Amino acid sequence: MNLSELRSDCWIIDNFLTESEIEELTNHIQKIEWVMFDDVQASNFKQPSSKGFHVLEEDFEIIENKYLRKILDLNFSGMPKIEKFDRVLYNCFEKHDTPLPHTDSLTEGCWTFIIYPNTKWEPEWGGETKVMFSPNRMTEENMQRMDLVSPLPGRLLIIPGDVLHSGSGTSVNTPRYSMAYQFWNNK
Amino acid sequence: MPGTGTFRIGQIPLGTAVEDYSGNDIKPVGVVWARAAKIRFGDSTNINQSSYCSSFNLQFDPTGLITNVASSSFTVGAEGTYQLSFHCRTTGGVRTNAGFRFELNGNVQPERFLSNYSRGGGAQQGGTHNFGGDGGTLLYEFGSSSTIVRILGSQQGNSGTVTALDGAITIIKIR
Repeated sequence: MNLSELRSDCWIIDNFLTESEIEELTNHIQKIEWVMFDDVQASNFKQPSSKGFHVLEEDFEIIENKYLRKILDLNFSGMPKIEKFDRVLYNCFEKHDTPLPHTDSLTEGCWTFIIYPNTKWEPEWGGETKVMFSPNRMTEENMQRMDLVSPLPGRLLIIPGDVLHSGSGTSVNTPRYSMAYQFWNNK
Repeated sequence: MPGTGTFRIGQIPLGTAVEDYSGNDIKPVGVVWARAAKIRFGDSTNINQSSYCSSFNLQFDPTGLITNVASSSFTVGAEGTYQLSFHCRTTGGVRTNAGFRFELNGNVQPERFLSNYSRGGGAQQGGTHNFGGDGGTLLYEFGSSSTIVRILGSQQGNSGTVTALDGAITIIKIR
């Protein structure tokens, strides 16, 4: 595993998944019965939707619990103190998808861990996760920042859940998969 | 130089510069996004289904997203898709209102989880508001180049009220 700091509160861990784990998750994802999913509730319009599937904590199965354990076993300086997650959201973005930026929670102390179980990915294929700013910590400087994180095979991205972020469509016909563990800190 | 045709770059954040190798500004003129503002409000007013939160004041708006702030409203000066996040500290009496709703250019928006709508129990029926705060996040399409935003009480609490101590709205243009 290779840890790099994207920001003071965002990290990227490359090779978080081994090749066999990527294969395991790929096989699992192939069996998902996707639904057309919206990222955030839209009140007065229909937002663009894309393929997604979510599993709430009480319904975690062996595979969600396996990678939950792997996340909780991470140990590095700054690693968020999390004991549980509220849900796992699987996303499948394809060519021409245009997901909207959103926050996963606005409660301070919420976190999102995004795993990219793609067997192969080239940066020019698109599908980046765009990481923007938090409405809870708006400054002129951080509003102007956007980081693009390519969904490289086996990569893990850790961001505060209150940071505005979005997935991206791809430039190729290969679907881009992600698996987001979300801790909303609502209770 | 190989490769001619269209160079697609997507949307460029407002504060991101685009320069050539000589440092000249070559940023295209077009839609800017991720404009954001924060508005504070609240003066312990009792809010019901037909009255508005008040004492609005603009706290943060570096890009001029907000064109006007009045006592109980603010005006957004561009059409587009917005994320509106709202939070308010509250207190309730014996009988309180169930929460809050957004109103856009006079059109009252659905309750959704901005209020206690989905919480059930006494608050939804107009009973005691058992929460020290209320809020939520929703996306809205502003179809007008000038949209007046207000917050009024929920209709779920019948004639009850909720005391809006203080709170904040953050608004972000996301498209």
